[in-house]
Amino acid sequence: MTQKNYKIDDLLPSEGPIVEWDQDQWWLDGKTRIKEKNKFLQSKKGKLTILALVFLFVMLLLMLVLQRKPGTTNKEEDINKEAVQEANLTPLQSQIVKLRSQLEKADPAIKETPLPVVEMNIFIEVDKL
Amino acid sequence: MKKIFFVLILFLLMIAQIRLTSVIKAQESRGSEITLENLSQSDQIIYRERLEAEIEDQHAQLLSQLNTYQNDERNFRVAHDQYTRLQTLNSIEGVVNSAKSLIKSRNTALYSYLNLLRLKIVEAEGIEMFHKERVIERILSVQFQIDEHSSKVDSVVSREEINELAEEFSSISELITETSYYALSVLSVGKLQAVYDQSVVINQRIIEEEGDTALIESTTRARSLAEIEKLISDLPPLFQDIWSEINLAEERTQGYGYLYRGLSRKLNTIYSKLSRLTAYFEEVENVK
Repeated sequence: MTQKNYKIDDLLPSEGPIVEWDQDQWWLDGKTRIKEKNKFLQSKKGKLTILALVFLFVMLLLMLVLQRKPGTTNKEEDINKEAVQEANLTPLQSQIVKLRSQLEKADPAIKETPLPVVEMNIFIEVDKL
Repeated sequence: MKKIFFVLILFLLMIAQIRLTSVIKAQESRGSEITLENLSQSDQIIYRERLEAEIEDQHAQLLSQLNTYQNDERNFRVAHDQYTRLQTLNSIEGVVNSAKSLIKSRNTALYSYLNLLRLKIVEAEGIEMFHKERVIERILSVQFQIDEHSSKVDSVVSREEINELAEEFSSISELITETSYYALSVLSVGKLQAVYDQSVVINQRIIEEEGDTALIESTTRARSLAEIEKLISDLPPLFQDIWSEINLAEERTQGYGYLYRGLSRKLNTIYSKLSRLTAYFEEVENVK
């Protein structure tokens, strides 16, 4: 592509300021400015770094998910244990406290989940019609 | 650039796959051999917590499935009513379709219920291994039969076929009832047995501590310990009686349903004795 140096006189023949306009230089300056702005992100090194960071993040997340173990929440037993510790009981005394709570759960009046009452004989009378 | 990206993604997927496979394999191998006895204490706690969570999950699932069953039952009743009153081809179609849905949702709920019982049996303490294994084996066998029955429902198109399925299910329903009552019986006895086993351990510790401190010389204390000992020795025959009844229920015609209904009185006797025993322990060891 060929570029031409224009003079304002060519366009405005009589009056007005004369501006020297180097189109090639202007074009190059602009391009350089834009390049400089995104230099790191657009470079191979930048892209690789971002990719490596994303990769590390995913790996870390994966490891955390796979190695997760239950038991981090406070359950009734833990709360009981804490209560026992707070009350400064001896190991034997705390064992008796646990026995009492175990006994309460074993009360025969508390029935295990009974067999659901469902229709075992689903039948359609054919002679009706 | 794209190549590097794909290589990285592939590498990532490979690592994830290897890791997941190893975790699943480890869980499977553990699942097949797991008994609470061969686990370390911390593993036992983790295993128990997992089981408890699984039981809660299964329970919630069962409740939602029973809800679906109730809706299907209501629809079936309406369709059946229309079928008997209107006697149209449309009503036949309606009653067959609603019966199919009902059979499916009933089977799903019963399957889940048995699963819940199985998990509870696995988690329970105080049940003999023989009974544990036998109940679990039965539950799995009944679940297999329910599964098979459910798979036939889709191919059913007529009322006669629905009735055939109903006939087929009558034998399975008996098995479900018997297996459930068997499981419920051993679960309720097992709970009390576990409390008794724990009481024996506590009594042993009290005696050991008495030996160390020579407190046994106190007459009142000696009398208290003798009472505890007496109560402890009263309980094994009661347990033996119940366990032998459970063993015999297999041969009796009334089966486990009859056994379960009759268990309450005996279990109450054991419970009150265990309650008194625990109160004695609390008194002796000054637990408020």
